[in-house]
Amino acid sequence: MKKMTYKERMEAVVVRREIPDKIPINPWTWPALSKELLGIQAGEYCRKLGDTAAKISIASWKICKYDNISFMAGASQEAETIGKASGLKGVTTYPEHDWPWVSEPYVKTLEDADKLVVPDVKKQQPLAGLLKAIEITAKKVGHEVGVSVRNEDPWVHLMQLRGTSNFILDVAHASRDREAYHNITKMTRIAAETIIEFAKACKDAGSWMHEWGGAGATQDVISIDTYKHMVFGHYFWINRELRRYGIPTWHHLCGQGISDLTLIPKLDADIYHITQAVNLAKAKILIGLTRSERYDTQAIAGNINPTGALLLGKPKEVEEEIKAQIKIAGEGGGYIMSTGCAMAIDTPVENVKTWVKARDMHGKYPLKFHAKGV
Amino acid sequence: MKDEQLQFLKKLALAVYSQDINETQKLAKEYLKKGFDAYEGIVEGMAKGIQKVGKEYESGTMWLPDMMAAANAMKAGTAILMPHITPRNEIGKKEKLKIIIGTIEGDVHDIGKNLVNVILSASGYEVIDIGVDVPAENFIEKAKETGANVVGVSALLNTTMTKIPMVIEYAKQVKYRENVKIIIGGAPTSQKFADEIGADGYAADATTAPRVIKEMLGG
Repeated sequence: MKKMTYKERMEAVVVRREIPDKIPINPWTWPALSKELLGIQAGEYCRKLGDTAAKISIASWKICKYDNISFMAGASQEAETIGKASGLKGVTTYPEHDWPWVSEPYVKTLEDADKLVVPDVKKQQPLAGLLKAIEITAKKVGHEVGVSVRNEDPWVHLMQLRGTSNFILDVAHASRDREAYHNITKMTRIAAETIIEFAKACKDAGSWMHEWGGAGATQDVISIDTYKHMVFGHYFWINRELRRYGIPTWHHLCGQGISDLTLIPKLDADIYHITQAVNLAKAKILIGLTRSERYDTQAIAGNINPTGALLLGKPKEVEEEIKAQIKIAGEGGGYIMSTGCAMAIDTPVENVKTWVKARDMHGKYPLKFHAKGV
Repeated sequence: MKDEQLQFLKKLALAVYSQDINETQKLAKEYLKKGFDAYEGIVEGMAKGIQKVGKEYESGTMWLPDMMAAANAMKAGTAILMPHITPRNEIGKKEKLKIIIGTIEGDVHDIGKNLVNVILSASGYEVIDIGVDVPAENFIEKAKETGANVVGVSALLNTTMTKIPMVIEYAKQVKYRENVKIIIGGAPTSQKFADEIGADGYAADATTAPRVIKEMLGG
């Protein structure tokens, strides 16, 4: 099979539904390797974005040579952007070597829903800083490798804006309080529209695909009925709008995802990213072989445990895990290897390099071994 | 126990189960006016309601928002009854086990931890909640200060779970490891991780925490 470029390999799975030359890897490194590689604390990636995030991302890719450079600002910074643009007061705390968090919620009561606005993402910090990072990276290495961006899901934004406990209680009240229901709907719409506007700006800045989704609206938190009534329409809308703008979508189903698997293809994303909490073999069959309006089969990404062998293990253990993943999900294509969720900060660079080497050795099509089945 | 009190206890359980803060508060006040035992109001009344919610949450017929709302109703009712608990009614006060719980440094998630607090309290433990974003050494120092038998450490991020071992390391450093059992929990953690770092127990979710602690203590 002809050797593909990094981006061709990704596109083969995400949009063309072709079997690539080897299984692509999109590892969601973000700032995980920054300290070991460059001596830069992970917190600087989030605090400075722009040049710093670009420098970290390019260095991580050049050393490890996976197939896609992904960027992320973090849920709290996405919420901070909405909060600040809406003129609401809150506090985001930026630790030195970790992701930031909202330490004082921007939305104090549900009535603040009327105050929320969709930010001008090209100007409003901190998201505007991420656009700068994408632009720099796409200019420097975009001819070799694709650049993409990940957003959290709208309900994670709302959990950050409102405070997680407050928001979950709001959801509980919404089942018997019409006003609470409408306020949550309004806020969800604003957060969804922010993702759409940001994804468009990212594409203009040089990204090729948009990754989004998180733990806010999954079966770990809410019932499938709540998902259908309060979430599904907004999430489908995001994927549809991005498609209209020519942006392939990578939909991250955090935690245990959605219990009603038949709903997943109806979200109409180009690829579904599952976490380590989900059985990959079952997902490959139950989601992967499902038909949607646009595709005869669905592409799946996932689900290397970021805190297992990758963070705590030796290279040999990483290789074994990669081989196992390939055996489970590699056959027939339609699969991208990725961490099930964010790569843990200070994951050893050697382990990520081992991941890519193991893929090069065992993940070339046609595969030398076959799936064991469910 | 009088029939009238039994009826009240059932109503308190139902009010918590129904996640109705106002009804729980109203019933708690009426319950006190009748001169019924405050401790029984919590343990035989409201706790039954939250336990039912916990069971349904575990079996997948209730969800986190229900659990949180029921916990809030229980909290509101407990605030009314708690000041009226007499020492006589603190069942086995001398034997009552103290548990420190908190979310590790860098992590501000408190839902799971708060649920554990409610469920352990309802199960008869004395829970000392030291909050979120707690430095590793504070867990052990608080255990030393209060004489707690168990330390529960929670992390909801894979970026912060790596700090959990620091609690165990600190306990060893200050030669206090033998005095406390350490249980961990939170989405990214696992039994494997607990074994690897040398924790004494792992609770997959809030509702299993009392059972794990009981087993850990050999009960």
